[in-house]
Amino acid sequence: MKKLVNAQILKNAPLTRDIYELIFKSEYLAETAKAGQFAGIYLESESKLLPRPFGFCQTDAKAGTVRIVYRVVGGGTKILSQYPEGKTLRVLGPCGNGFTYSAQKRVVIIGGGMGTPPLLKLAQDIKKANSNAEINVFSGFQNAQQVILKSDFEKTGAKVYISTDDGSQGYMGNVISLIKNVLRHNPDGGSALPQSPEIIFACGPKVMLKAVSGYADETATPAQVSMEERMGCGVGACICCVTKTNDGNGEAYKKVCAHGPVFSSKEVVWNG
Amino acid sequence: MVDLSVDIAGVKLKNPVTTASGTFASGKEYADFVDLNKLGAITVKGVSITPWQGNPPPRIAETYGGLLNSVGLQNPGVEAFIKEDLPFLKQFDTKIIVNICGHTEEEYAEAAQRLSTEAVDLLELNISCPNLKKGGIAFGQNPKMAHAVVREVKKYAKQPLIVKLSPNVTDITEIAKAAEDAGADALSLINTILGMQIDINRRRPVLYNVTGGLSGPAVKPVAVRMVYQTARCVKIPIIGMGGICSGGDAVEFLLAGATAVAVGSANFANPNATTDVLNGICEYMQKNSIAKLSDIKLA
Ligand SMILES: Cc1cc2nc3c(=O)[nH]c(=O)nc-3n(C[C@H](O)[C@H](O)[C@H](O)COP(=O)(O)OP(=O)(O)OC[C@H]3O[C@@H](n4cnc5c(N)ncnc54)[C@H](O)[C@@H]3O)c2cc1C
Ligand SMILES: Cc1cc2nc3c(=O)[nH]c(=O)nc-3n(C[C@H](O)[C@H](O)[C@H](O)COP(=O)(O)O)c2cc1C
Repeated sequence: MKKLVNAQILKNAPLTRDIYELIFKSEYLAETAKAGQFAGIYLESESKLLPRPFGFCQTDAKAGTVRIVYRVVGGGTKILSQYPEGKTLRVLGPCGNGFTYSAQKRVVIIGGGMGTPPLLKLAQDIKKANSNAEINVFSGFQNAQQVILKSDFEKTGAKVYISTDDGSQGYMGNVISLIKNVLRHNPDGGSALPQSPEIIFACGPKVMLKAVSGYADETATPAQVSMEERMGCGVGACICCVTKTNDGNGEAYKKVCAHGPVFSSKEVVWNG
Repeated sequence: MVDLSVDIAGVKLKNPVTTASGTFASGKEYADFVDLNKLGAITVKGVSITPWQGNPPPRIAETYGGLLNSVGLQNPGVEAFIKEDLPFLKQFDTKIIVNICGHTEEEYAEAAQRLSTEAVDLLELNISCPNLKKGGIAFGQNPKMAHAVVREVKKYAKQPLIVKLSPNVTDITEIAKAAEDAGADALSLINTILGMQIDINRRRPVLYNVTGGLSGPAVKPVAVRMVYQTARCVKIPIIGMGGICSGGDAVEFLLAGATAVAVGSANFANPNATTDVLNGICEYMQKNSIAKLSDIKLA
């Protein structure tokens, strides 16, 4: 059940120049949030009324805390970045459906830019559910300054491969060519990536998700992708954040905030 | 205890607060936050005789104190509404207002006819949606067309008919009078104001549809003015809306001449908005020793 909670900010500080880490207290969200679901954060601003959606990056049910990692991209995230510790936020959640993990052993996680944070909680939850899971994380960023959460992922026991558009860290190029490259060369000399992951989870810009979908089709691997669209209410009422889908019964616009944000890559109409 | 009940065309609402069509879906989405039994009525998202796909995204853009939307009345059609949403709504002790849309007079009439045998308390005719290429707003911008569509729908509607007016006109009272003349039992206003936002970095309109409807606190003064003007030239009751976020906002509409009020975009900023507005009206009445809602009048 979604709730509107008052959550006290415990930490709100930069991780990099424009990427912030926000930790707030909410026992309810820490206990109930699933990986891939998101929180709607309201800004106490008369001019900015809509909640800003952010994926749950990490939750600690014992401590009752929630971690969000966000990038300052516009007016709302700018205001958020200025909120001090101790301030109370109005937060809506948990929203959306989340990823579905069903005990697969060989897991590939693909993140692009600010699509990466929600995947950390996913990796952590997968490890909790199945300590035998072998997780390979492929994370693409613009440049080395934007690379985030690498050691967090490594702490889960996952193997992490980084790509940057300019080659300033890791592989130079996009994540899909990184995956294909790793499959061929296994550059780190570590455990070889299984030729056939049983499941792919991805979150990032639509162009990346489209490529992931293509890769999943080529390798006949099921893939779950977390989509992004401009959102209004966050609860499925306003029908604004839609994406075109086809679940076999013809094309239709489905709500990213309520039917998604996670969809089967096969269901999304990529050219729609 | 204050008496909050109001009468809209013979239908008694326990209080004057309803939801603005399209901002509250069919209630389910907000039931986690709001006790739907507390609302005077629930006005549902527009339904049409056949399913409508709506416009491509982006469908929403935030603006200063408001938002633009270009949903384009995506809805699963009246049959799906009757099967999937109506049974849910019927569980609650509140009145049900169904908003109907169409491209042609016939489509509006067919939707009204299909709903005539259902447990629906009031119909609201949306002749003011700015996001359709055909129909919708055209009916709300021309007194003759407004008259004709209301006449046609009245032939088939079994429930009292509210006609929802567009603010995108030079003189809203002309359309209001035409609707009353054609048999409208009540009016609701305002629908959204046509607007546009451009992304200066991409140098493109933000909305796929280029233009969209503006709503939220930014439109309230326009809405209050239009309710005030309309109330002075028709006898039928008015449901006022446009930017209502608080009890004080609602009282402003009641003072302008509205009988009831609808909470729209405010739900997006605060899922408890409907309850907050209702409580705010009660507080205002208590504070000012007003016993009956209808006694809220301009000095
Ligand atoms: C399900 C979901 C999860 C997300 N998770 C994260 C995350 O973990 N970390 C992170 O940094 N970002 C995340 N985002 C993107 C984040 O919501 C936007 O960057 C943020 O809303 C921008 O707000 P702003 O006011 O700074 O930008 P502005 O451009 O000023 O915002 C104007 C309006 O557009 C909306 N908007 C702008 N960009 C986006 C976008 N990319 N997606 C959806 N709405 C947008 C805003 O919410 C606001 O209503 C997520 C988006 C979605 C849909
Ligand atoms: C996302 C959205 C969808 C809407 N859909 C409808 C609709 O289906 N039918 C209708 O008559 N009005 C629709 N409206 C208009 C509202 O009912 C209302 O008239 C308008 O938004 C002004 O009120 P507000 O400022 O309180 O939102 C919609 C408004 C929004 C923001």
